[in-house]
Amino acid sequence: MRQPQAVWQRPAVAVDRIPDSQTGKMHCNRGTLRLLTLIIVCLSAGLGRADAPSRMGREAGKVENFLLLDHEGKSRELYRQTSARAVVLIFTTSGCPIIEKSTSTIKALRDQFASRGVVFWLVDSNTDDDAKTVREEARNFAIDLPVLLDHTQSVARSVGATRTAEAFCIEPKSWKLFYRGAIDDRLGYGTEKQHASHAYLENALNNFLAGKKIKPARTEVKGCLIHFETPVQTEQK
Amino acid sequence: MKKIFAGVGIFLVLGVVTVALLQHFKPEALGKFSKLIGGPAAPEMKVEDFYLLDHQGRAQTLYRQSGSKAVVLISTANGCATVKEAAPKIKALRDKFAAQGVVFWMIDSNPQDDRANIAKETAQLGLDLPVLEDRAQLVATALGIGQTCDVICVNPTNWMTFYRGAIDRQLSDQKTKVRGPNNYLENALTKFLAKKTVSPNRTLAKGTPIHLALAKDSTSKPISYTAEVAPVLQKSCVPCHSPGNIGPFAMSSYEKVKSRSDTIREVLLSQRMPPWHADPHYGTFVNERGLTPEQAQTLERWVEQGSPRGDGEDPLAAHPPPPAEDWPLGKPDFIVKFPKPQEIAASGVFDYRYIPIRSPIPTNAWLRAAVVKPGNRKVVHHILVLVATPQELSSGRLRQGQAGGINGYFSAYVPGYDAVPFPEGSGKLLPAGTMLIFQVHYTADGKAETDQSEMGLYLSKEKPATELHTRSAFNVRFEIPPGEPNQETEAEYRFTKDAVLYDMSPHMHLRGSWFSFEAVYPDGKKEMLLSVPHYDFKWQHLYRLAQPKRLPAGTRLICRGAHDNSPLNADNPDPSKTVHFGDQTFNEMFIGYFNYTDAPTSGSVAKTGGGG
Repeated sequence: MRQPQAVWQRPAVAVDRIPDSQTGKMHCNRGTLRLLTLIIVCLSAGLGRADAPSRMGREAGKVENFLLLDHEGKSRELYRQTSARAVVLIFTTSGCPIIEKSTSTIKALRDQFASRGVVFWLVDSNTDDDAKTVREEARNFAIDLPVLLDHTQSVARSVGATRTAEAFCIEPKSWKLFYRGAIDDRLGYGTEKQHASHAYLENALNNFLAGKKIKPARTEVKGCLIHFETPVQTEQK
Repeated sequence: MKKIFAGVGIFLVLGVVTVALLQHFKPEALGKFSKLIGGPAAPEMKVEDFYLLDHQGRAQTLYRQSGSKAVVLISTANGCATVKEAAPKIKALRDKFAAQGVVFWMIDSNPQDDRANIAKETAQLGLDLPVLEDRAQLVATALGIGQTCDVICVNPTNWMTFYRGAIDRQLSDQKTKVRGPNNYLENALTKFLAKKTVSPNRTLAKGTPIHLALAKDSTSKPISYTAEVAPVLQKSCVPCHSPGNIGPFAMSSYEKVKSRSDTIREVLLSQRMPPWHADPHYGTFVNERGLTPEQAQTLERWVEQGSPRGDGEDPLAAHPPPPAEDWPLGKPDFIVKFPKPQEIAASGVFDYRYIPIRSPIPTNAWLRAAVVKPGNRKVVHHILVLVATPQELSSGRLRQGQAGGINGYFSAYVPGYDAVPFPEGSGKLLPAGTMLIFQVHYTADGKAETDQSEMGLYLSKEKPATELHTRSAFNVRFEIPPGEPNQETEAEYRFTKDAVLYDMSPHMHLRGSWFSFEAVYPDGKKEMLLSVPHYDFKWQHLYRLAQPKRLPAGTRLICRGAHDNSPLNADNPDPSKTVHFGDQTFNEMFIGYFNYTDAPTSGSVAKTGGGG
């Protein structure tokens, strides 16, 4: 089955998928028991590594720095956001009903969390969207958030985004992801509910700011597919 | 002794480190390695959502099976000896695992097979499981199915495959070199359900090849965007995907389409677009909007090829559709307009609004057309125009029952409705002083909007030969229990005179699941006139018969359908509620609308009275 390359690609950034502490425990001079423990630890570490890219993804991963212009021509650099407590990237494209219908939720979250140091950026990685299109869309939908123009799609590829309306929450001390996935579960493909039953992004931000465990740290997102410009090679022959 | 332990230990550590390193740097190399030692190689792939009709005309959507424990897909084709050999095994496995929540589907991607043949063959083989009709071969292409009896087991928690290949060793290709048990599929399901490692998880099936029109070897010729792709888009997509129309983006150039080509592929596979919900097996309709299997294949293959531009002009840019006409039937004789603009908030789900306006025509008038023109197509979901006398209106019987549109309506706009006149030789009477009540359903589009819709009334030059009646078969006495996925309901309308039927339109709300119209003739013969296997509230089509249907007096029109109150219905506002009849979208309806006239040869005089 065809998948955009970005799903499978090892990201350009270095992503540590397992905690270093486990592999660091290599002392083996106290007999069989310790040896066995070590083997089990190594094995489980290895398995974790194999599963990580296809499943939970990179919430433990570090996001590479980038610098993009937004739709108003301002430059936005990720690693300059050191004073923010969190940076939230949400992928968008013009003419995608799911992201259009999410606008008011995104704005409400921004209003709720901006004062607590959370920066919200939209990222448009559609190669067909130029600054004019994005400005028009922003005006039409009263979007008063920066929309970063990712023409080369390098940011989408780097973080592994495949659909719009997906949120990537970054912690600016380590630049690691602490949440990746849907904003909430209100919208589907052609479906819309009055209220969301799960406010995933809001919960993730609340828990993160309160220093609590983030659960779920990864959810499936429903959004429009991002079309990647390089032709995608299919696996099957 | 100690030395032996240390030696073994070092060897083991080295081995484990090698595996771990391999896994980190070259997972594919490890895959080969694991295959050699019979370990869990990873032929896993994610299966995309797809929608197909089965051989009984039921809608089957893969991702709706999220409540199952596993989904087993088995490729098939009529007249295949391997399938015949496999049939008892498939049935036995289904019988064994169905009780444990495993769903078994056969997929027929053979273009020569039709529903009647599939049903016959399935009955002969004693297979009582759904056979999905993959006429456009989009599913076979997506799954890489190239032969019959290929098994694909899918994990419904993440839609990854966990077993692929033969049913058992006997039905496997000789090239399959795996150790372990012979009953591959049974073993895979048992292990998977027990949350154990599935091994072997990849074998090679032995079956009859299925010719895939989309297969790589037949795609060497690039699809022409100019000559093949653009014409399909212009006919089936651009009418809505153009400026000012309901589509969320305009297909106005090659670049616009290319940047959405993955989405095009996805919506074809899940059949979300183009929106057309009639089972093509029954009836022919003038306003059909679905793609033919060939058209779907053309688009699919083009996307697979990387959406090449090729040579020639860009028809989408060179020939944009004419701007949406204000009044496609010409200037109306009278126009009814909402007295003031309606305001629609940026987000939310809204109650229906009712806007009563007095008929502007001072006398009783025969109309040849009544066209509702939405003021703002982005937010008008539908408008139903009902009629009532001023007395009825003031007596408060407006909202439900007779005046609520259940028996019929005067005119309507729904997404996908064309502005067409009443059928030739027919018309509707609008008595003087009638109150026209606009029932409006708005949907939010992400920004605050306003709407001031209109209706154009076109007078008939002379009294038409027959009166067009909008009537319905309806049922208001149903109860849908919480969580019920398929609560069936039936309604009936009996024609007392010979009639000519022009069109049909099912109406339910967000829990509507499927709906059909069947004619039962006075001699007892039955004919399916329309089947909508997957009803979608957002697209309330008027299915206009290509050939109006003559129904003798005494014909009964039977509407059957069901509501889905389960959480699997993504539109369901609240699966925990018991639901009854009601006009708001959180209540339900069960109405089969249709337009008919008395048959011209009956000599009967058209009755007067409005359509509602």
